[in-house]
Amino acid sequence: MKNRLFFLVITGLMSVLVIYSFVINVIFPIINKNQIPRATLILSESNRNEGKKVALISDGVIANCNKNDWSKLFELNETEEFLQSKLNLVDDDSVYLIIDLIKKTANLEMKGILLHQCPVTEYHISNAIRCQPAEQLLNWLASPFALKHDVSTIPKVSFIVKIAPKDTIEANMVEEFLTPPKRGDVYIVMDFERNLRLIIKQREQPGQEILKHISKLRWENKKIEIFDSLNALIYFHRATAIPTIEIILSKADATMLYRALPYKTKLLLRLEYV
Amino acid sequence: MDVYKKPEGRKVYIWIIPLILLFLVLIIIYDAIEVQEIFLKAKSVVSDLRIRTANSEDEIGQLELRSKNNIVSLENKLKTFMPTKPYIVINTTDNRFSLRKPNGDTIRTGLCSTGKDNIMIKGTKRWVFKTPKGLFTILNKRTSPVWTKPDWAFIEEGLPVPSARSSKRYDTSTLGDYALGLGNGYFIHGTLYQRRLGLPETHGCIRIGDTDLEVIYNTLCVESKVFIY
Repeated sequence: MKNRLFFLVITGLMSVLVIYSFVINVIFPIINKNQIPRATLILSESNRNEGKKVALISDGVIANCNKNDWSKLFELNETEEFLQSKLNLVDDDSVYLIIDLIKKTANLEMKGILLHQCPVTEYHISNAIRCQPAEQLLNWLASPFALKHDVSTIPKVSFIVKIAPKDTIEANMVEEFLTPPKRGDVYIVMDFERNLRLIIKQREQPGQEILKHISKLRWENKKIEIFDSLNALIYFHRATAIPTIEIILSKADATMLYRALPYKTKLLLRLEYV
Repeated sequence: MDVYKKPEGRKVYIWIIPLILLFLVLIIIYDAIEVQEIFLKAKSVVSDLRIRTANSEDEIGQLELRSKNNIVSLENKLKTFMPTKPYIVINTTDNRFSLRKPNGDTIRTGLCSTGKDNIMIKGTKRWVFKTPKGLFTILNKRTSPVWTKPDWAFIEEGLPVPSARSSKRYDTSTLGDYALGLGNGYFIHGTLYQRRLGLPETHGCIRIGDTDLEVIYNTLCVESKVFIY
């Protein structure tokens, strides 16, 4: 009898916990449209003076469109926002990244000049982006994404410290062997503002050792997500899903891209509306 | 004598139920993002069916026209930022250069050598051998440049540092035939070590092979832009 009561209490508690975690972590974010954060629109000085506004598709128009018109309108609005953001970035003196998934390219630019173009072999866009209503998606894309932090299997800069004179004399002797610097396998996770996560993978099959490193990086990210989910249970507030874009580049391009980007880089994104 | 009693199956196995429930909680927490995304997918299919129904050609036409005009205006504004003179782009990761026309067309590409990313320390002094990244302008052009060797050039070779005006400091051969100054002691110049082009091994300057350097020297002028990334 005592055991039966204990069983019922435990099962009841567990059932409540299942329902509770499901509601907080899944149902609530969906009901609240799981909104991705809106961008703060920054107009260039000239546009501000002219009193122009970036045209965004309104709900009224959405209801009056057929599929073809809708895709066309989306593309035009996106292009407009993209060019406006590019114009704002041109004022900066640093390198920025442009990922154009329509043309399947990842470009490095500075002052509007294309420095390097990398073809994107493959890409994957998470449902958190794919399933956003168009207006919300346009608002999300409306201004450049600033990098918050990143983790990678390769170092950004690898300085070698030499203590003169011993190290330098020995180093001069070693330099006779003309070997290009060794390049490690690349897996990069970049977290930008407005929750965007960009994962850059290399096309070539990585070595065993690096696979362990990649698993470790993935687990680190997963740990953060689990912590968020547990926090949601406690504080009754679930953070939005993480819109993730995964691109696959050649190893050389991925290395170059990562090393060329400054620590607080900005990203411009162009997506196809599906 | 005690008689062995078989435990009742129901009592033992029934505890699987709360265990499964606990397992479910863990799965929901672990995969919350993915589970959400599955639901989002389903939701978007429903909303798509609801949205795309009617068509108002006038309104769409007006919006399209406005967008197209804005795009043309923005593209024109962006064009004003294009350089008016030929420029050079240096890739420090691959140690390659690309000489380009103002419209972006490539004139010549080739190998170069950039900074070796070393830090040399002697006592309290510290030198960082790295090619700076960013946008630079050619400030001056020189033929048959003479290199005034700084202290680190002697320290690196394990030699005593001569006085500031010592003749040992002047080197007429190392920089090649031409040098284009970028400021702060950084130059695009030639090299004696042509076979090492493509490797990162300078002290911050950009070394270029003789034939490429001649073309670059003749194409770029003072105030031409140099993009280093």
